[in-house]
Amino acid sequence: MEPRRVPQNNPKIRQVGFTFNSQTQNPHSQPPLSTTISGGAVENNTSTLSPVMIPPPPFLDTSTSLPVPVPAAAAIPAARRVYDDSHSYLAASSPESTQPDLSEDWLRSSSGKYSLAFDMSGVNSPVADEQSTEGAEITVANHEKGANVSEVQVSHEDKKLSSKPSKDKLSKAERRALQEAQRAAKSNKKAAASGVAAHVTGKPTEASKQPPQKKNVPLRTSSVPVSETKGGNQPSEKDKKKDIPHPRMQYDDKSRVEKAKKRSVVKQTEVRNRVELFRHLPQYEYGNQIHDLESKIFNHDSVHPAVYKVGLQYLSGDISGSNARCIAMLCAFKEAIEDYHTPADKIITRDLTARLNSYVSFLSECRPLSISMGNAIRYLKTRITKLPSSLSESETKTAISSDINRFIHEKIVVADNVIVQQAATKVRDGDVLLTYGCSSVVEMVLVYAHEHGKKFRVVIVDSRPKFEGQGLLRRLVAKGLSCTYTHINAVSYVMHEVTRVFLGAASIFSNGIVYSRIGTACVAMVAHSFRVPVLVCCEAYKFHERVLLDSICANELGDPDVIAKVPGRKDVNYLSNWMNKENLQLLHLLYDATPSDYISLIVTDYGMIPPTSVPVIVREYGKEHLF
Amino acid sequence: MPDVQALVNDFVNKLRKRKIEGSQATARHTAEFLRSVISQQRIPYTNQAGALIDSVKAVGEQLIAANPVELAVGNVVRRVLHIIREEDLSLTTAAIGDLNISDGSDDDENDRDDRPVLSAAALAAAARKTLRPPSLHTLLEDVPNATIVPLSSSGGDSEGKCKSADKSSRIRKLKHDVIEAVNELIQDIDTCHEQIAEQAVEHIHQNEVILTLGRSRTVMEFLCAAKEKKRSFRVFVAEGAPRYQGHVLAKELVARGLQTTVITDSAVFAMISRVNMVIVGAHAIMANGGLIAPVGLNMVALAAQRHAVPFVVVAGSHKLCPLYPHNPEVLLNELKSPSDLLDFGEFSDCLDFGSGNGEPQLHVVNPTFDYVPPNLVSLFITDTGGHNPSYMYRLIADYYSADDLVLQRKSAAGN
Amino acid sequence: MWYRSPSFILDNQEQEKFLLRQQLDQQNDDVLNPPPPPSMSEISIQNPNPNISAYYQTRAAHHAVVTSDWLAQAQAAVSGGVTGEDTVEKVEEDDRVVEKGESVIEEFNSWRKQPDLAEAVAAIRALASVIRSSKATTMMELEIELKKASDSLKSWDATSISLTAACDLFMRYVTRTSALEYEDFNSARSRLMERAEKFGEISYKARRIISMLSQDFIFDGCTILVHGFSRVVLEVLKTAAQNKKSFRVFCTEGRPDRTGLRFSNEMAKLDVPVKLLIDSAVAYSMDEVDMVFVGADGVVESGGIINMMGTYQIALVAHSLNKPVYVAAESYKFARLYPLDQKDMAPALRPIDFGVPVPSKVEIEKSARDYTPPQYLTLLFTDLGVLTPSVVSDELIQLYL
Repeated sequence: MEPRRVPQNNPKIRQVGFTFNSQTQNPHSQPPLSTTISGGAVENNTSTLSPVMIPPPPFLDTSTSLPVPVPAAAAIPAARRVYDDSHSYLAASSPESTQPDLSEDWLRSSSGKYSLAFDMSGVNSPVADEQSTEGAEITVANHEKGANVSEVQVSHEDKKLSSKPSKDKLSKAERRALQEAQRAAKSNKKAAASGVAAHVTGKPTEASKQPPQKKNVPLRTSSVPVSETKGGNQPSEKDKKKDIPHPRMQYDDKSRVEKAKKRSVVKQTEVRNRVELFRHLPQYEYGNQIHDLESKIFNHDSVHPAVYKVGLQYLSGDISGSNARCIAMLCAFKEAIEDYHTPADKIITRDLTARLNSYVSFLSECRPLSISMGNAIRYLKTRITKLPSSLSESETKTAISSDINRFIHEKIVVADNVIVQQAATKVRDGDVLLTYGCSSVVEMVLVYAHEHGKKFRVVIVDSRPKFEGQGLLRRLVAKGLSCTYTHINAVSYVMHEVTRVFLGAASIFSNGIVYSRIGTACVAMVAHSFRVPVLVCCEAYKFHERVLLDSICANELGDPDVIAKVPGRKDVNYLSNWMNKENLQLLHLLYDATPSDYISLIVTDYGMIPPTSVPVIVREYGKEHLF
Repeated sequence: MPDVQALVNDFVNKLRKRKIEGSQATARHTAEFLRSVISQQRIPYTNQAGALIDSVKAVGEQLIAANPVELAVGNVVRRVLHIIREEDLSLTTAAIGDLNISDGSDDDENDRDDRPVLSAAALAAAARKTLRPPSLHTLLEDVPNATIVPLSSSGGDSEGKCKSADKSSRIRKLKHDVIEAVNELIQDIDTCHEQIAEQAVEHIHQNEVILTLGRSRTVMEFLCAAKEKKRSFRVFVAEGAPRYQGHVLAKELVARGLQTTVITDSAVFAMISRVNMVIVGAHAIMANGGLIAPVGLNMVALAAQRHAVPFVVVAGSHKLCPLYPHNPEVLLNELKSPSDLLDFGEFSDCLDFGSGNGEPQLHVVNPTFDYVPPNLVSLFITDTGGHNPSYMYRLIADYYSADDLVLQRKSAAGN
Repeated sequence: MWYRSPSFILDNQEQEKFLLRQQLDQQNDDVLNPPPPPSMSEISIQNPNPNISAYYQTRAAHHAVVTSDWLAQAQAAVSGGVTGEDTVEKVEEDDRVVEKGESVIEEFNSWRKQPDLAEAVAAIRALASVIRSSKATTMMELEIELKKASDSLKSWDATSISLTAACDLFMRYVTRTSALEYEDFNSARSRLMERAEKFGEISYKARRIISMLSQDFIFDGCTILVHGFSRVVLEVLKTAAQNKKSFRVFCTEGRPDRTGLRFSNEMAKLDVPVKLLIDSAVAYSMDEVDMVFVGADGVVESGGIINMMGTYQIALVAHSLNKPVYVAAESYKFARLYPLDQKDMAPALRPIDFGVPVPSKVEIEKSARDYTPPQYLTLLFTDLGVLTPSVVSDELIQLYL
């Protein structure tokens, strides 16, 4: 049995809670974050923890569940969220620097680094000032897909919680029986809704994301998994069961796709000639919606303008690269949270989580979430649920903001620093370094090494259709590095003279497979055949406990039209009419999976590790989420 | 021969300016050109074959120098030389056979000769051996095999038994035979696609998925032939940047009714796990079984090896080259203009070399060909059938003679 | 002793005991009954020291490493041969075959000792001398004599592959020549002798052809790893140096023959930058190396080579690091052997001098050569042209069928 079970305050709540079978979803999602139905928690100060929150591990004092004290960072200037590519950024932020630097450090423009070129300040003002948004938000909440459900549930839970204190004592046996019942109900529900996973790539807490999309489980809001019992016994059980991440939304199931479409904000039309092999991934026609959506930026109530803007930028491809997307999203969330006002008789954490879910679903409609974004969201939700209910609204908001800042600072900025310093030690004088596409971390490594006086050459390999390497080429040449530029077919030709290969990654899975821009696997394979060491630079927050075997099961499909057209080459127009040819399909894959035996070394902020140690990092790193 | 020289110059110009595209077209033109050279060549009475060979060699040298990367030119030149030698030999054998029958009493006379004259059979046998590459069992043979050859062609002369009519008819016959054989060669070159395509059915079964890169006419014929025989299969075509010939191929295949999907070159590794077979064409096949192929195919071959997918190369026999590649990436490669990859206008600031010391900071590489080592290739399909890469040397021995490998003037010995 | 299964150990121990007992018995017997004098035919053509490979001993001599063991054996061989001959001559006059056998070997040995001469050339010269001194009157007789002589040569030193191959090659040539019946005996015979004597030229020409063929594969700025002392490889590198190519050479030390020292001497004479490695440093330096050049003692049917001990090791390392391995070998070294593994050949042992006395209980691996399978070889440079390993069998098939 569970060790040290905190006495359950309110078994009745749990009972009621389980008639909404939706909540029984996801026993293994360890952060049940999302809708912490903690309305009553605010009142119950006797147990510092709401019955529905995931309690911290037993040995930790619950009082420390507050976010790590963020000194003075609350006053994050809303001003410039634009990123600088200056070296001062690197110099200024040392690993030890804490929050005070935060405001300046990563809030610099770097069109190269994180390719974030937007300024949110303009958007901020109109919304923030309105006090009337409160009412608007309530209505907004109502319009949210399935938000009514959450509302209903909230009200339910409210009633439950109010009756909570009276149910303090329950015998152990009864509790156990209840738990068994819950578990049984859970497993039934899970089987039913197993196919319907969130857009969010592989996140175990898909339950929290589900609600807006799938209505076949109407009451499954970002619901409280069973684990939201009183006290701290559940987590260990959940932890054991959380091993298997939920499968994501499978697009070959027509009914689910239809349902998803009905509640989507961004209207996407499906492309006609779909590649059979990729029926399980969404494939839409691009380019139609941007103008539409642009005009609606302030009309859309359910989505905060900042988030809306970021979504559009994803859709149009202005922001790309996992670090950039993640940071953009988090900043947008921060803005949204700042402007957020808790509607009356709603619990802030729960409502906020619901709101976040809606944002996330919007963003994923614009472009499927990357793994980095998924991990960040998961972290955010954990933090939200960990917040003690005793805080006022402004304090909560401040805490969350500072959490986000801390995340960005620690997991991305400082991590990049560490990676750069370590990777630069592997660059010797006279080296010829090869890189593929455009990775922000690798660019930083090269610039850093160059500035520290190492003499080396760079070979940039690029490919269709995005030609991301051209931007990198331009920036590196501007910095004074000697570069050679070629396309991926010629990689066997140049590989003779290459001494090291540096690659970036979108994510690394637990079986050591590196998931990154399409073409990376080819480059790594050729390097391996020429016995050239391959180094992958990747922050640890991008690691994931999923496993992947090949590039087909999990991928992202891009706009097939760009394959038919080649920019700057009018003569290549053989496929201009491809839509009308029924036998012809164009395939535009965005990612691929590089096998782990091609990789010599992974540089992370936890040090230089072999590809076999990735699950170790995932385990260690994952535990941090709970703290 | 002023006429010949003018023609030669004209053809050399065309080759140098790369006006003739594709190895098949080049091979055909070269063969036709050599045929005209031969027909215009005046042959002396003695040593006719030698004269022919010399003239063809002289012309061939110039042609090869015009476009050294287009190996088909050299191949055809060497084929023609080999044809000349073969025809000459067969004529000689026939002639000597006649001699034997008609002049049986000559043996005694031969014995009285100063030279260590061998009998006709030995002569023929020895002469036959000159056409084969040096071999173990000829190792201990008398070195002056070379002297026997001219003996054969001038045999008619030294024998002194032939009537003059025979002589002139023999001369004409040699030329005639050679031209006939060259015509056959031209026809082979033209019909290589059909012969290769006939073998398609043996290799493609139902519900296959085939991957190819770029565009090769041989591959297209191959696939269409299989389609004719009602095999259903799908084709993934990698576009083959920066020429994007894959698009053309895809269009053609779709027009013929095949299910085609166009993918980018970077997606090859991702897709190859779902592919049953890779079929590609080649630019040239070297003597060790290695392949000179359009750029990007080494990557495909490595991926195919990793996933244990058969890598099949279809090529006509005019692409077989008797040379060994000792630095193929550099010596047998052509670098094309960087404008295919980078827009000069966009990058004009980078190309400034403004760092002060004048060193170019930006260097763009755009090779045309790739070398695929023989251990990555599963099968070669030529118009003579399917072969292992380790067997290619045999075909080469059949089509070419060892003396022609180095097509340079005798003065420049020791290449 | 340490074969695959432990039962062998027990079996061996049994056998040793048995042998020991036998020896004791014999000694007792000797005391009692002196053994009958050996018949003449038995003395005849036996290598005085079957446990040492004469081939590798000779090569060691060429490399100017003269150990005391070797000297003693050389003495024994020479004296043994002389006495043998005397004894034989005394006995019977008809036994000319035996006498010839002895003189062939003697002749062979004398030729072989010349450092610049290929083994095969020595063999063929020895056979030429047989022809010269033969009193046969028909081709058949001559053939039989030659066959006997070549057999005796082969059995005298079973470990030398080029000897075997050259003898076989010459025999084939003779057979084929004799098949051309148009000739009379004398002219045929004189031609055979002339060819045999000219074989030295052929061998020399072969080396020139090989060095010409390999020139293209040596590019400027390359690093070549060399193992063992092969005269062909030396010729190749000499030619390259003369053609003003700039390259550098790594020599393995080549214990116990110290071939590396000798080779580096030669390279230094040519002004080629050379670096000596101990045998164990090959893998360490292999990533700097661009290609490996070795000679061959013999080329076997599979396309693999038999060469000085250590070649297999180097080929393995080169293969795993994707470096090409080139073999320079004349075509008369092609032999009809097909070893499946290292132990599938006749053992060729030679004493190894460690410089310090080794206790007698310690076993020493005395084999002087190893077999490199064809998949680790890239190309063979021969006078027949540049060949891939699969061509070797083709040639052999044509020769012998």
